[in-house]
Amino acid sequence: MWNEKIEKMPRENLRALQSERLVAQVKRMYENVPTFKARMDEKGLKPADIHGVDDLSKLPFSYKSDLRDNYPYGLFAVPMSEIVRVHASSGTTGKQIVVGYTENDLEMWAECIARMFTAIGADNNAFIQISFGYGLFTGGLGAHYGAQKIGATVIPTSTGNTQRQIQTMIDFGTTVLCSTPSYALYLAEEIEAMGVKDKLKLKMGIFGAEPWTDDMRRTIEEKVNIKAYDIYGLSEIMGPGVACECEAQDGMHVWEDMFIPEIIDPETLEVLPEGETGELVFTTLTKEGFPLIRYRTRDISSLYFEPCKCGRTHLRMRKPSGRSDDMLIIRGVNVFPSQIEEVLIKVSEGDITPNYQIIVDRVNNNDTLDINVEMSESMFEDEIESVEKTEKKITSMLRSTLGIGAKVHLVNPKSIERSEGKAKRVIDKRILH
Amino acid sequence: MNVKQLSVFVENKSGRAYAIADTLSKNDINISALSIADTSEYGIMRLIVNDPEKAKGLLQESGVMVKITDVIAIPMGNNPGALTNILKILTENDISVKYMYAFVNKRNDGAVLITKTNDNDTAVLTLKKLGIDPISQEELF
Repeated sequence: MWNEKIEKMPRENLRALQSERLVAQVKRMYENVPTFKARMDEKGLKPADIHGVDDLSKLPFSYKSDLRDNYPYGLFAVPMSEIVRVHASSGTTGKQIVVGYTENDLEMWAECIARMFTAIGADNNAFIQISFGYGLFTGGLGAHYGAQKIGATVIPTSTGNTQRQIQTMIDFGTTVLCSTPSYALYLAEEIEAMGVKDKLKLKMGIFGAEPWTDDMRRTIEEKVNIKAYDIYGLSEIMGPGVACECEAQDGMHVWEDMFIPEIIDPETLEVLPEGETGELVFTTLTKEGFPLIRYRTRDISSLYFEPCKCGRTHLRMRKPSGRSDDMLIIRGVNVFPSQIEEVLIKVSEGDITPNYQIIVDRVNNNDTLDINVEMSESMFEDEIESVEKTEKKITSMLRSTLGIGAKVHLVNPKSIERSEGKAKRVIDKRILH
Repeated sequence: MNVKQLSVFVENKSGRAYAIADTLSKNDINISALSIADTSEYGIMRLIVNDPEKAKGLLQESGVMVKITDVIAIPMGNNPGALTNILKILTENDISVKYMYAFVNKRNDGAVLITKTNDNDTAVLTLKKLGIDPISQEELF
């Protein structure tokens, strides 16, 4: 284990540690984050009313919209001089959301990832190829510093160029691969097709940032003869590594010294008991730059407290089985239908916003995003050139808003199927859960 | 002196062209000429019909995107060299053709060239000066 004292800490001690950290964080946020203070005041709560984890359910929730309303840095609890890095992720509108880290935050993040790599059996002899995107996306750099922390040899390939990824794996002797599961499956199939499976030293993979099924896991494991592990995280809370599997492959351990997970009923907002399925809510405990209390992730999951075969005492969460909102995860990128709608509002320039339909599918293990847009008068002319211009304009605006490519199809007015008068906005043909 | 062309958006799905033709035929609309500009995703069908306004209304009702576009109908002989002659005039006067198609005129056995240019008004004036009178909407049928 990377940090045996923490990872095997008896649950009552862990709870005491959480209580101590929660009390301190509530006080710090009350003093430094105006939005949080306002929410507390609304409920008539003072930091002194919070004595520990038992009082958690008294605290106000926080939401993704808070990040938009306080864009870009309004929720940070430290001056910008202490922030050493920012990352960004999709918001529900055209604007992305920004998260910030102090030096200690990055250190704790690396600690989470280091525990994860150690939990699946990687150490300083490992060659870890990171095929998550590097950049504002948390995946690449998040995994990178954790891999470095355990002393492994980091191979920062980032995404894309499949042939070179595979050649790198062979030549550099990669033993651990980090990527999205769909890309891993794609790589696995290419490796099979190239007949180079025997040249690989690959032993395991850590796959996350998008939903995947147990079937996909088995397929990847069989095709390249590795163990495939699941990882969970979200930028708002930290990034990848908030939770991850151990060698037992039976649920993801949430690092409870840093995060408190809760499961709530998204309708009644009641906290649900162990094992029940509901919306996952996270409270950070050590984050300095951008701490959050009771953040509603919208991911549907459940929690288990029983001891794990691996000996870790930290509770486990089940792989998320869906969303309590309409967010889609496409090629690892979060996409909200409202972002697409906003682009179409801009394109129609004051005209009625055209009806649209989002079709998501998975072809050859690659997510596809197609958007049918009903034409309005202003979009159609007698020349191909002008129709193409409209199409290209929508395509490029979508690309810059969503961060991924979408194929736009102009269709006839009123041709998108409506149920009870309302157009069905999203058709997700993928089987993910 | 322009004539009215129906420009119809046709999705690249089987049965779409049929549905358009069917709507028109059921309502006694006669098609004199048509051409289709196609891409892998969709096509634009351009039609010369006897009652463009009525046809537009019918197609719109059937859920098809349609517009009326001004084009020029140029009379020409039904013989080798006739098209070359027209295009030579347009080229020499710096008028470029966006698209064109032609049909045989049943009234005098000549041909009609339907075209949209980058500047229809100048094209009409130029042709008139050279004694070629573009055909009006009424004269077409």
